[in-house]
Amino acid sequence: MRNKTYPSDFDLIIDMHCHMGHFRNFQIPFNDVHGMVTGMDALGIDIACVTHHAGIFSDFRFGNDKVAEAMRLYPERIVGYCTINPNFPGEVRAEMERCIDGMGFKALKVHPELHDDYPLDGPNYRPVWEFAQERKLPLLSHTYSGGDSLEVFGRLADEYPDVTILLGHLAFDKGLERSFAMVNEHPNVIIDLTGPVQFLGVVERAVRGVGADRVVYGSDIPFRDAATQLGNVLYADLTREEKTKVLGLNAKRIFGIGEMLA
Amino acid sequence: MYFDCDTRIGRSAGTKNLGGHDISPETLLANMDRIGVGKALVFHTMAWEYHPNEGNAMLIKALAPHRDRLEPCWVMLPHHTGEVPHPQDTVAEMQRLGVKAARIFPNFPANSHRFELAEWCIGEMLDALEAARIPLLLDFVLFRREQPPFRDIFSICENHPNLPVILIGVQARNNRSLYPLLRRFPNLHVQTAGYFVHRGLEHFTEFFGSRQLVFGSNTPTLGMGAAHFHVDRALVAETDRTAIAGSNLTALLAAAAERAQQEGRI
Repeated sequence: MRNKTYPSDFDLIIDMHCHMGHFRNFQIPFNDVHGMVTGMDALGIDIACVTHHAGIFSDFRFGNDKVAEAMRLYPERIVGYCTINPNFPGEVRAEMERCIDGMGFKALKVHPELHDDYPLDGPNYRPVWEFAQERKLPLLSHTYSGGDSLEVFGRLADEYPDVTILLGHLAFDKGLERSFAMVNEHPNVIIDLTGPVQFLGVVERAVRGVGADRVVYGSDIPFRDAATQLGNVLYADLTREEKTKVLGLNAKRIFGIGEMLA
Repeated sequence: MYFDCDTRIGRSAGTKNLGGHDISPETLLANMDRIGVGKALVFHTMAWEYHPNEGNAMLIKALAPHRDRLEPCWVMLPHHTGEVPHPQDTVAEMQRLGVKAARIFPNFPANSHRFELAEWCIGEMLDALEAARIPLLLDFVLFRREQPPFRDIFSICENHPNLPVILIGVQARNNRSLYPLLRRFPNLHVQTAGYFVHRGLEHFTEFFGSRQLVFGSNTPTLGMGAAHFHVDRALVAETDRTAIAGSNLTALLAAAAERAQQEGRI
């Protein structure tokens, strides 16, 4: 039973940046889909958009299969990202077709940091961008201090205008104001709050910086706990309408998941 | 009642693109009222970002009208350079002023106070705090994937079994080293908001009970509302939630007050 009592009494909370499973670098309690959904219920989170840890590390096909299994177990609670690894270019197109066409995944996920710092605009990622453009899919990319610059994201946004680019972690390491400027120049880029939203005032700055329609809530569960991030949105100095968009309506639109909520 | 072990007042420069904050005691109290936090342990930003001598004095003055809800926490440094008094004198002054908690920043980046967490450096400070039963908040100002210096924490907890230690900002990745320390040292505690392990409060409580968890928000770097929500929605028994929210910290500070009274300092 989802806990929707104050302060999380929003009709729809979608966590658009989630993972699942073990992670070699540290122990994660309750990291399977059952443990995640139990935690989501406690916090009032309706839907988690998930990429599996195995997918961002050792075997993206294995990870995608785990996500598909979670989607089967909780069809109203789990949305799948198809994760691909550009270091195995021969498998990429077929894997995207298998996940998107065959298993009902809604979006693509790339993690250049864990995939050998492969550049987002490198040749092995091109089929991913082209596929996303063809299908008008959202694509979530991790960002990090040593990774691709905001200029690269901006160029890709221009080249693939039908792809909604979810700018992972707000590109926090590049600087908030620089991220906002890039997002404002590219209408198909959306800010993912995951991570920096734990800091007081970040959600307010993001909404003031790019508008409430361009910001989505995420937490990285079970990589970390959702409450310390979700709480900052719930208690933010924003209007209820703005919070409603950030917490769920924007992600519902971007992922096209209205039918899950019927 | 929620009793926050980790708040600060004053004006901060800003860091990591997060912007600065300027928090008065009145602002802090208004925020506590909005969220439902009854009391808070407070240190002064000047004691961290500039120097404890100035910041601790500012803190006492600023909190004077609000001592029923805001408890002062002093920031300490090693005394060997002569920039602060000997720790026995500092602790005596703390007891006289009713300061029942201390905080140190023993790490090496520019946002810390750059000293070793070792007996040869701060042993006398630890001895003085332990004798006074004053809880020590250990703040390494960790970020993201970093971890506390667990070997040093092991030594401190082993050498000072009557010193309550509260680890601030443990991050999400450190259970494999943290758990054996918690099992071994009952004087080791963990502040909640910086311990953002997935369903971590629940897992921790299953393994160790709730006595070693202390509600703390790290306001204004993190959010007090978020920290409250974290504890309020944790899937733990209500008795555990009550302990985490406030009674654990209340008991630690009461022990310090009792010791100060025994020594005739208050």
